[in-house]
Amino acid sequence: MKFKVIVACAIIICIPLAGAFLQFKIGQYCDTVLEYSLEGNEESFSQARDFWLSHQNILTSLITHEEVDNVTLALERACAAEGEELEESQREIAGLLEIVRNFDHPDIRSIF
Amino acid sequence: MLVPFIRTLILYIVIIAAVRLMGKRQVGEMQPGELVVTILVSAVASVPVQDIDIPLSHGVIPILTLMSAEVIISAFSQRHIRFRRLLSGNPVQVISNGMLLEKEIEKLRLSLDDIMAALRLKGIFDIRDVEMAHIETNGQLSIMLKGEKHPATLKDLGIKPPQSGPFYTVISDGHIIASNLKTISKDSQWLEKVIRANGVNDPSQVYFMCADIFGSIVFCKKEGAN
Repeated sequence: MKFKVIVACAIIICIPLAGAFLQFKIGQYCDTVLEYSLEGNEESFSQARDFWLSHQNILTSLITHEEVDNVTLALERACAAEGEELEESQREIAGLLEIVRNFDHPDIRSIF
Repeated sequence: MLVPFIRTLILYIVIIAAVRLMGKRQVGEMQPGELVVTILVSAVASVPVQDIDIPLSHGVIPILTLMSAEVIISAFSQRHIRFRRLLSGNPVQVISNGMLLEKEIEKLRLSLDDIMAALRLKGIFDIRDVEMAHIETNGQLSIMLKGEKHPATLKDLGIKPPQSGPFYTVISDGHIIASNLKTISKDSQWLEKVIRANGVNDPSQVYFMCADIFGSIVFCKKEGAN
C-alpha cells in the first residue's frame, strides 16, 4: 500500500510539473515561429514552417492536431503569399499561435 | 485504422495498470468514490480512441490523475475516520428485530421491493427471522439472524468434523504450481504417486488437481489422457 501511495503522490506531483515545462516549451516554439514570421519574407516563413514541422511530436502530444495543422497550413500559405497577403498571413499566424500558446494554459476561460 | 488500434492497446494497458494500482477487482465491493473513478476512467479512455485528432495524453493524463487521487484519498481515509465517513457515509440500519425501519429506508430512498429482493438473495424469505440488517456504505445489505434461526453447526450437534484444510491448486492445465505444493507440505514425489494412482503418467495430462494439507485431493485429468 505504501508503494502505491508513493507512486500516486509522484504522479500527482510530476503531471503538473511536466505540464508546466511543456507549456513553457510550446510558448518558446510559438515565440520562435512568430519571430520568423514577423520578418515577413518568403525565406523567413519557410524557416518558420520548417521549425514548426520539426517540433510536431511535442506539439501534437499536448495540442489537438487540428490546431497544430492550422498553423502549418497558415505557414504554407504564407510561403506562397505576396504583397498585402504577407501582412494578412502574419496576422493569421500570430492569431493561430496565440490559440496554441494558450491551449493548455490554465485560466478561468480554459477550465470552464 | 492503425492509430485507433495502437491507441486502444496503449489505453487498455494504462487502464489495467491503473485499476491494479487502485487494488479493487469487483464492482460490488467498491465505495462510492471508487465507483465514480471507475466510471470516469472508462468514459475518459474512450475519447482519444474514438477521435484520433485528440492527443493520447488527453486520455492517459486524466486516467493517471484519477487513479492517483483515488489511491491518495483512500490511504488518507484509512487513517481518518471522519474523512472516511464524509466520503463513504455510514452504514444504516433498516431492519430491527424483524421490523422494517420506515424512516431509515425513506432516507436512503430505497423501495421495499429493493429490501425484500436483497433479503431473498441472501436466502431470507421470512423477515421475522432477521435480528438486524444494515445497508452498508457500498450499497450491500448485511444481515444478522435471530439466535434461534442460525443454522446449526457441527459444534451445536456435538459432531467432531473430519480433518480438512483449505484446498490449493497444485496442477492447473498441466502445469505444476510449486509454491502451492510447498504450502500444503507436499513434494513432487507425493504428487507423482497421486498422479499415477489416478491413472495418469505425467502432470501434463492433468487438467486440474487441488489438495489440502491432509492429503485430500480433487483430481481431473484431461480428456483423452492415458
